[in-house]
Amino acid sequence: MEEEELDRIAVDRCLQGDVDAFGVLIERYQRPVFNTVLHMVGDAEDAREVCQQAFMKAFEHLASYDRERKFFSWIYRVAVNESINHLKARKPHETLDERLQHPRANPAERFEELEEWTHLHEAIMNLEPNYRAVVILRHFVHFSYNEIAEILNLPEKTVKSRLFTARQQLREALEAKGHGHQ
Amino acid sequence: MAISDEEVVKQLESVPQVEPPDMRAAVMGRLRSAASQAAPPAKSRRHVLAGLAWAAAIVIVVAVVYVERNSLPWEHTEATMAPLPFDRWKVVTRIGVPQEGRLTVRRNGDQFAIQPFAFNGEPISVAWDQKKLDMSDVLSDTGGPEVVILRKKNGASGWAVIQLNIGGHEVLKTAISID
Repeated sequence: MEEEELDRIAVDRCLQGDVDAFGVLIERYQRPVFNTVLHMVGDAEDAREVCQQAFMKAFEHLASYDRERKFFSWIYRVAVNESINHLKARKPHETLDERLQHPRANPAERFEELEEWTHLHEAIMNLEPNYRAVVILRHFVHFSYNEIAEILNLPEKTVKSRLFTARQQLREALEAKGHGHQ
Repeated sequence: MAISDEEVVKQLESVPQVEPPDMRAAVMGRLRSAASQAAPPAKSRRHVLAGLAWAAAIVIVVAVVYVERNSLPWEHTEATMAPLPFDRWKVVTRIGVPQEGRLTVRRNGDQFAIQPFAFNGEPISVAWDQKKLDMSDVLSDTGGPEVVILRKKNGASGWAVIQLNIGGHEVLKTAISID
């Protein structure tokens, strides 16, 4: 049975009152969704909370989920929107730089250990969130342009355009940090 | 120094996936806690929750008035500072609603610091499940809104719901693990 069909069955069971069926969906999607949110918000503890909120919101609005669409597109959209809301609600004085310099203890300490990735991470975190989302969905979660367009509810050409601009900004940021070749 | 688009893509795609914390138990616990008496997800669920979720519990609402400069007198002037600065406690949740407010919950042992914030400076109140948490202190010298310190009741376990109200209406509700 395909995953899409398994998703539909789990959604049906949830809507019929079987709350535990939602656990199956969480288990199936928590890893990619967490990684997406982690790169969106840049902090593992925040990512854990945003993910949990996203799953709870998805459950609460399950009745409004369009069954003609893929469940994974919908849960990613909820997660990306939650991430963007979280970023907007962040304390104005709590800059990304401060957060990067003083990472809190978190449940995914490996994220903090990826020292060689620091400059790229900083460059990604400096992207505007709508552009960051496209980069993450394309290069970290490996969605197609069409899938990203569906998740973000954007025309495919806009996805491509944002991705181009985002990679250009990343390139410039990395060059400014001394990466690349002469 | 120049770097090609291909190199950027290569760097991006070489980033390993991080193993996430197990969220299944936490989310399911929060769902059960928040909606244990509610029907399965349906369009009317929000209304059902609004009517029932808090009716079963005894809830104490503590007014926490936040005024930036022309401040009104604090209601809890007898409050004392917690021994350990609350902002050193571990953040267990931080959630917000754009243009409205945010709630940060920190933990230190059996104590929880509830730190509300309103973007528009409107009066804030915080409510919690009195069956599981008692108020032990209110910190007013925080440079912002008062911070409510709650203590887990003896024998309490599972999840406790915290609610943030701004300007007299509910802005958000979250459940925290007290185990």
